[in-house]
Amino acid sequence: MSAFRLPAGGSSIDRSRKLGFTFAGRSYSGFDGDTLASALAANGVSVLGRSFKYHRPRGQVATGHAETNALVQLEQDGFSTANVPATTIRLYDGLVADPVNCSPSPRFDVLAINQLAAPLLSAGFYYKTFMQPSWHFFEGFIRRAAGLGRSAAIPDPQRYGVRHARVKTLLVANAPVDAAELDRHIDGRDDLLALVDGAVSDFQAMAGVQTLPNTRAVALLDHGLVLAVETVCAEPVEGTLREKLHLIRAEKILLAPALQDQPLVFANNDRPGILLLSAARDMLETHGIAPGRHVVVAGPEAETHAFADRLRSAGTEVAATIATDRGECLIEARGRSGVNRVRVSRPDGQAQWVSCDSIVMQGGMTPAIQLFLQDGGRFVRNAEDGSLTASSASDRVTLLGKTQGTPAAPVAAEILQRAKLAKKSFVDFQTDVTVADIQQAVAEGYETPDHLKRYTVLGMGTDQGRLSAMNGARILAEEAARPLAHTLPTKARPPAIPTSFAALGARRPTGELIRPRRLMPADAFHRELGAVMDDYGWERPSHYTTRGETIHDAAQREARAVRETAGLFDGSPLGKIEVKGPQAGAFLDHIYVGRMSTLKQGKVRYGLMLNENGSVFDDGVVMRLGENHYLLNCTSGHADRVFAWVDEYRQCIWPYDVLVQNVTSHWATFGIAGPRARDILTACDLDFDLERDRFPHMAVREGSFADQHARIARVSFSGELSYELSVPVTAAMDALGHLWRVAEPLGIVPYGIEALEILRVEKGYLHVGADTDSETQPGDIGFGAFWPKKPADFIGRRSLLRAPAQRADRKQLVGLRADDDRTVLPMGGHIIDDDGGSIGWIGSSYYSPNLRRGVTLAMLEAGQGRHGERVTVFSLGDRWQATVSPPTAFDSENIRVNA
Amino acid sequence: MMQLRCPYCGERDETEFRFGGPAAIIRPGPPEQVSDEAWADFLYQMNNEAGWQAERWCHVGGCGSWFHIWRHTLTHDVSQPTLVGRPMAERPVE
Repeated sequence: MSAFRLPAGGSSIDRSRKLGFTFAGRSYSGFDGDTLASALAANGVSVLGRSFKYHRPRGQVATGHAETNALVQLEQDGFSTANVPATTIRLYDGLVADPVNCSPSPRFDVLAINQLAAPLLSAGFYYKTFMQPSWHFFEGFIRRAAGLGRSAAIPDPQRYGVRHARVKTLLVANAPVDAAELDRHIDGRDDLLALVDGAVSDFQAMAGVQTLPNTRAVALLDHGLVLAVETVCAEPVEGTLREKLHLIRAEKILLAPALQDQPLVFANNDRPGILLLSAARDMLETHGIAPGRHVVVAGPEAETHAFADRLRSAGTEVAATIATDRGECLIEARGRSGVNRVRVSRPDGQAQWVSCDSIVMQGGMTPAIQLFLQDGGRFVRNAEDGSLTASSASDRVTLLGKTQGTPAAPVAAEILQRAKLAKKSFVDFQTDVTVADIQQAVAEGYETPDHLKRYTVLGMGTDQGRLSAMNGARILAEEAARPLAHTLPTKARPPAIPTSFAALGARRPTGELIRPRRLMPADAFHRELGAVMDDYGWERPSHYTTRGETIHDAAQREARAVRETAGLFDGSPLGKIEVKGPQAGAFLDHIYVGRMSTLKQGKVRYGLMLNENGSVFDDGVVMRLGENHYLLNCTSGHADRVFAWVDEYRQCIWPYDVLVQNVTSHWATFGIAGPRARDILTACDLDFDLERDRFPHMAVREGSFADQHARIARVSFSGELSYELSVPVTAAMDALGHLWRVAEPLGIVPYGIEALEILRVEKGYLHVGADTDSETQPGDIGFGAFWPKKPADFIGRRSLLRAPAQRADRKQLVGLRADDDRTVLPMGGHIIDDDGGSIGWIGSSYYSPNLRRGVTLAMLEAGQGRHGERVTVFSLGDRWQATVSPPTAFDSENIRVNA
Repeated sequence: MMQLRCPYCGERDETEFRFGGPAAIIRPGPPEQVSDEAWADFLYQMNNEAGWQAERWCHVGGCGSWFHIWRHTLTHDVSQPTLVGRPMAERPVE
């Protein structure tokens, strides 16, 4: 309310062009060239928001991105952006903004009651208070009460772009640059790209320098990468390019940092109407606005007097000038939503109240080097006067211009000594950190700037400590009696100014494309058959249904059909890795627990891969297709990892004469399993000899199918007579069509993942990751007998020799049978001992339609020796009785698989 | 974001690479002759030096090659790469 527009003046505004805008639901007008902050000031709106913790009324205090109080929610719906400093928003016609962190309005705010509770909300309050009964009990309320702005809930209707550039030299100018100094640092102006702050007006005159307009550097990353965001269209117009992210790789970076003036620390220094000298000057000179009608100007004598004169010449009364470098201090301001008087102490110790409606302050200058700190740059503090200077750290980055700050104004002893004043003397406005908070942190042992920052959140606001880090570190040094030279502001991290996620994510995949869907080659065929797809890394049928069956009923029907007639399963996502070369067998001996070099051509062997800890990493069958040619199968979702893993060992540990290639997506693979599987394939008119003894279980043959090169392996994950037919991926639809035309009349039923799970658990076949965990070793799942005689070292072998690998109480794979056949024991349930402690866990559990009871696989301590024992299963408060059994519940003699 | 030089593909952004840990760690063997202590060191002891560190990297977003570089863990300066299996470059001077 104190500020007002002068009848003339203001270098950036055009008084002939009026613009209408809305703030907090009320209509106002400003001039072209105003910022939202200056336009509001000109309209007498001084309370722009409420503070984060105490909900105190706040107004503009600074300029540009240093502004820490006047954050607004800009625009509405999809256009809405949270926490934008009103000082950075150039006014346009129709602009709509709302204050953040206050409800219902900044003038009257419900949570302002927090001010009364201020003694309770001091530093570390959350850490101490909300631990009982638990943080989560309070979290919902705190999160609602704590946030500032709101994120838009619907997609942004504007576009965002990205541009990559390489330059020899990049200049980031936030302060005027001397042409002669610049030229000393560059070979020529042709190689220079400049990002120039809008406030640095004299730069355009420099000839031959390429500049990016309206572009601000937000991050200085490794190896000379600078992220900068260009505002292309600030107005909310659907479909327009709003921002463009520039990724600029520069060999050399020149930074010209601005000198940022700092607040004075005194009681109620956060009242609207109290602002920095730089902000008052900007208001006056560029926007033609006086900060008040009776202004107190406080700071170093020279600046104070100069600005007071300027105010007087603009027609404003100066109530007093306070020379902080002459022993004068501000102690306490008074006023409800603004200021009406301030208590001033003189060098002789006398204090007096001065009436005023605005205070302009300057408590020292500090280079604003947030960007530079990201690169490892540092402040150096002058031990005498406490001023901060930026010092260079890397070869790549050079500072230009004024990098030396000025001394900080002292804080009145009265404030440090009187708790009542200390509690209202703000060091960080946005995060509501007071002198009292720093004193408390010190009293509790947090004595370095980094500890102070984490404990009190000093400097964690969106201004990145531009207005608080200097005073905070200085007061800390005083209170903790630490050497001033070692008490430096904390490191700043990207982004240096608030940056929209939309800009950072420009041109990156969103929505559906965040994780592309992986479809099987015969996807359309399955959908035609009624497949219900689910995401298993690949989109695969979980089950097939045409009559509105539930997933459970469908899976039961499919699992029964496989054992009664035959089932068709699309196993195309199965991981397939080819290993070729004269040393392929010897190489694979190192990769698998089992011995693959002795595998005969045309045969298949099950293999386990371990990690170096000796834990099971993956499993699958290995086929030897030729003397020097193996095909590895691995878990579907694991193919890329297994390939990378095997190839890493090839390159780094066992550089044998082999090639490794991931061919997972080159082949479509269809499984035909069940008692009628051989009849069906025979009817397909293959050129394979399917006769039982010439093509036994665990053999592989190559030939053709439907005029395509094809491979058939007799392997089984269901325990049935089973063939796996693989054809090149381009022939998938044709081959499956041919197969289906022959097989359907013979009673084949397509089955999905759910039925496969039932079948493999009936049979006791484990699924790595479901039935094993990071401790499971080969012996725990029945593969301990083979490897000790194997000559070659293999991945994880040494770990199997450690004492823990030999312990008798290791968890081992078992089956469980519940007392009640109708019970399906819960997956994730625990097997407990008499004391209620866990001695094992259930990995897989289903209802078996073929055995008409639940079937379960579990890991149980010393389980291999406990077959027949009774155990208790516990899950979510319920208990069941069950009997331990071997893992295999169905066809333990393997008659079917060898049929 | 760092830029690393793949021995085959040249200079690329860090996002194309996978970090493979310190290069100084050699897998000991044969298993029966390795002490528990030596094996535990191989599995778990990473020095994480402040300064020049020899590292393994893989160009997973390109040719898939594993290579060694020296990286200064404080400044992120990096040396020229050498393929795994070839002699490593000398440790750069501070």
